[in-house]
Amino acid sequence: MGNLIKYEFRKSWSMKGIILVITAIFEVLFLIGVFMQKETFLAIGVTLLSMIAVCSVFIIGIFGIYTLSRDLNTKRSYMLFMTPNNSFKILGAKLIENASSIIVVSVCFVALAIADVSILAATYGEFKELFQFINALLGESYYVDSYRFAMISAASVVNWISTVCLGFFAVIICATLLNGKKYNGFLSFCIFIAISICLSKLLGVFIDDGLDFNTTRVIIQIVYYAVVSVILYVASAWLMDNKLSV
Amino acid sequence: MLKSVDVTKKFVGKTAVDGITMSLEPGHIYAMLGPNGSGKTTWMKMAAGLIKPTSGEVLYKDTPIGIESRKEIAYMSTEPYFYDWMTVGDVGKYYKDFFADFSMDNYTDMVISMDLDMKQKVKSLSSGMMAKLKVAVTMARDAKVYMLDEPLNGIDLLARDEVMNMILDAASEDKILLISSHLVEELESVVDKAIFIKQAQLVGVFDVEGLRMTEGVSLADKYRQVFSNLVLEGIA
Amino acid sequence: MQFDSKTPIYLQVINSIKMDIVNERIKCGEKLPSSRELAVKYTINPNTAARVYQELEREGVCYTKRGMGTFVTDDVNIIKACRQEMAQDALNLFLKSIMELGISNEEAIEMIRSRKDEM
Repeated sequence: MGNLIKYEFRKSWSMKGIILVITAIFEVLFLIGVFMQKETFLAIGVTLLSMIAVCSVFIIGIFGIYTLSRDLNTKRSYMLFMTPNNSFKILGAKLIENASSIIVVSVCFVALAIADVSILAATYGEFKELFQFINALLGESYYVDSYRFAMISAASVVNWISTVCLGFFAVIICATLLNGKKYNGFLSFCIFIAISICLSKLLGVFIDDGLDFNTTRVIIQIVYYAVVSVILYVASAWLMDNKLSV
Repeated sequence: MLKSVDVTKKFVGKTAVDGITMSLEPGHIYAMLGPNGSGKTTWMKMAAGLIKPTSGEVLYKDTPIGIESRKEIAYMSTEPYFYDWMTVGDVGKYYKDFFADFSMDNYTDMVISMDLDMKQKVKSLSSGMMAKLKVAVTMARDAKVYMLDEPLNGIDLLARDEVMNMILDAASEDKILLISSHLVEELESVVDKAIFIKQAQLVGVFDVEGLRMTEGVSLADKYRQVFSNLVLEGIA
Repeated sequence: MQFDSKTPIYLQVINSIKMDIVNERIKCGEKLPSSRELAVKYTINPNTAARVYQELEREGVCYTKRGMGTFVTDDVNIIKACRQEMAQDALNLFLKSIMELGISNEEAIEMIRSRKDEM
């Protein structure tokens, strides 16, 4: 299993390297803005950094799905399916790589954000007031504090991981049951959308869709998506073991 | 040791393997012969556990092919399948990571004798070098069954001798070697059994020396007898 | 080695080895390659190689010392007999072709003589 995970990481190296380089460039822009007192640089830096933070988590997930698709539908598949590893391990390695990358990247960006905000606060000294101003503007129900921020972030990460699992599932259904070569990509996408809609409808049975923060709702959400991920993983691996011809 | 019991594989609109029943025993080198598209590759992939039969089953030591059998069955496909980022050395490390029977020492020896370079990227290999690399990494395993799909494709005369030597080195009493090819003459002296597959069906398993002794024909002659009808039927 | 397409391969290898022995390219009592080495040398199946030695042993041309390998016989008579047998085979082949051409044995002998003079 360790070896499988190792090679899954190896497959996404270059993509992660690119994200790292781009982030570094944006961070430099931001730092130039802060230390040279150039407001434009600062604004651009902050915008681009928030953008790359959100994008990179998405890109890593989508790249994982793309890698799985290549590992199932091209000759590369032999590299995995010739080895004495069952599909639970093969797919498990992919999920572990992807989920841990998403979590690590999220944590890194949060840490970077905290560091940057601290730098900003230290330089300008008026940042706390800025935060208070924003919170006052948003009102009571949207009030941002570290607890809420952590909970919402955790829910988003789990939600995104379950989405990646769903992507895996759709790709695998296509490669096994449908076995249709021509419209494989399009079909996968349709299945993905269809199940995705069903899943959020099903979640709606358990919780109301209010916009205000509510700990119980967030926890239900996290548990729901975690369970969905596990079910999708088991179903996908079972399909691969029993129905897959590469 | 390796049995195929009424194995059939149907793809959309085409039957690739049609009811093949046969049994391969250790201590022999088998040639799997037939024109392109006759079903050799499909059968091998089923025995390697890469694709699943539509009906029937392939048994290894009386157990259906699965994860366990991959530990003892080494399969080499015709098409290159390594990751783009790999070097010749990385390919060896990959096999070392996944196959307990892989010997890095043997691999290194073979890489040297095949004039390959450990540092070279697989992406930049010529088709002949790729063919040699695939054979080397497969034969560096100490497997019980070796299945090589068209190992002689695209390689020059000298490399062919090297490949033949590797095959002969690996052969032993307790091993099965199965080599598919459409180059009958190349394999004639090396194999002792030949499996003929014609239009997805098994024609028969022939003993190479037996053919010469009883019918006075070489394997190549027999191949012509069996398959030239096919051409004539096609014309008529 | 190129094999002809009619006779069994093991017989062709046996003949080639006997030829080497008769020609003294392989000496009396000399160790022969293992059957695995023989397989690689002639690019033949290991089972065919094993059969080659079985036959050679049966004919007394070579013998196996336990754990030591296969050796050519020390018995000069067996090798002489081998040469005789191979000469007979060559002669039979020659006479058969001569006969097919409608040449009498006497004519053939004359042809050999005159050929010998030229050589």
